[in-house]
Amino acid sequence: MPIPAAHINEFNSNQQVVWIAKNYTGSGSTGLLRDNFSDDEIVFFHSKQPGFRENYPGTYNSILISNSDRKLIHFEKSFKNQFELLSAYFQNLNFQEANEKLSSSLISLLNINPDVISMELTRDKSIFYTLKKQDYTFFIQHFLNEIEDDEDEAILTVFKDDNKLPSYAGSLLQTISELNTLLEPSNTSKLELELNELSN
Amino acid sequence: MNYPIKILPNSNYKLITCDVSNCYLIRFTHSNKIEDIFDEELMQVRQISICDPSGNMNDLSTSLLGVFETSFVQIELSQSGKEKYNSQCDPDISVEVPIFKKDFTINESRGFWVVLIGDINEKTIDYTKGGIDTKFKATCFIEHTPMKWNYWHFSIRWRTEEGFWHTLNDNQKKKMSKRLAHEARANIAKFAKIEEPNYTQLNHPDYCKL
Repeated sequence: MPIPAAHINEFNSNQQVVWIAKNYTGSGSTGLLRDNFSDDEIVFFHSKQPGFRENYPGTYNSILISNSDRKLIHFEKSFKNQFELLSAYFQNLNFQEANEKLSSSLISLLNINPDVISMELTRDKSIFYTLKKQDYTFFIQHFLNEIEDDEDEAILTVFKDDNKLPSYAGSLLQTISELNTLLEPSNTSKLELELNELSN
Repeated sequence: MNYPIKILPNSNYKLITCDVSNCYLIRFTHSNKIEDIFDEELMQVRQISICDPSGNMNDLSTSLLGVFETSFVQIELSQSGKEKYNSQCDPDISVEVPIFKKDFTINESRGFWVVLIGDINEKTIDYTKGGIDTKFKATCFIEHTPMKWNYWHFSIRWRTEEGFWHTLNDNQKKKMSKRLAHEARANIAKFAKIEEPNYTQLNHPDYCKL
């Protein structure tokens, strides 16, 4: 069992509070202080009851941290580093604007809950994502300076195992919707299987 | 450092037209550090190592692994070497042997990726665009394209309904370059490896005149 810290006087901007839904037996601790960029965790006491959720000012996004949130923070940091490295190729691209575009695609892709995901910035002013989920490998390129139907343009290439499926090009929204359509049948059948198991 | 003469065009060589699906193509990367060129979580080559920017994806330079060994990816032509040797040629022309430091140097920081030709050759891509039934097709072709510095030079090219991508005019290219470049990148990323594979050399009759 983790040993709770007696007092936490202040948080720094790299830390987030995670409220634990249940007590550690006998400790009374109700929270974890996590570092955004490492696996360090500090358990702490709080007078509030377990299950209480509160956003702390000064935390990274003032959100309850999850695995997806951790990935989001990791990729935002990586994006900033990559942007700086490739800045010579991005003369007409503003970092703040590009960062907002990153968030729009990255959050949608993390919501798919991929098994593995990577993000690379290319000299073509695009973000190149690779996702693996179930038997699928998805390659998604989000163009930061191209517009399709008033939206950012994106391209999707899909493999199921080693077999190539039809590709898709369109707006970012349409492209992510297409990706979800591919995953939905398997999600549905998995759900049906689970329901059948429950009814037996 | 002597240039490996065995990779130069030779009067006894011919164009390779046999089935090479069981052979590997090799291409240099700008780094030989695994973390720079390979994503170990995804188990895939990083995009930046495939070709960045995408400008050269329409006619991607590689070499056929075999007589061309993995260490040869470190051969880097100098500016004058490029002017003299970096052009396509007949397989059987006579070429002066490149001179170290004048025509080429050895770049030891280079690494490589390899891809099995059978994994990408003649694979067709099929696109839908924006929910509208606008189909777009292209096929990947591996072609033997001997260069003055390297008889074993091969190109990864794409044939579209309007002709080979690299031969299209700027207006035609504009319409399809992004999609094809994306596809080409995805295909390489999916199948490329960074370990030296078990490979076989072509039989002499496959590349030598009788």
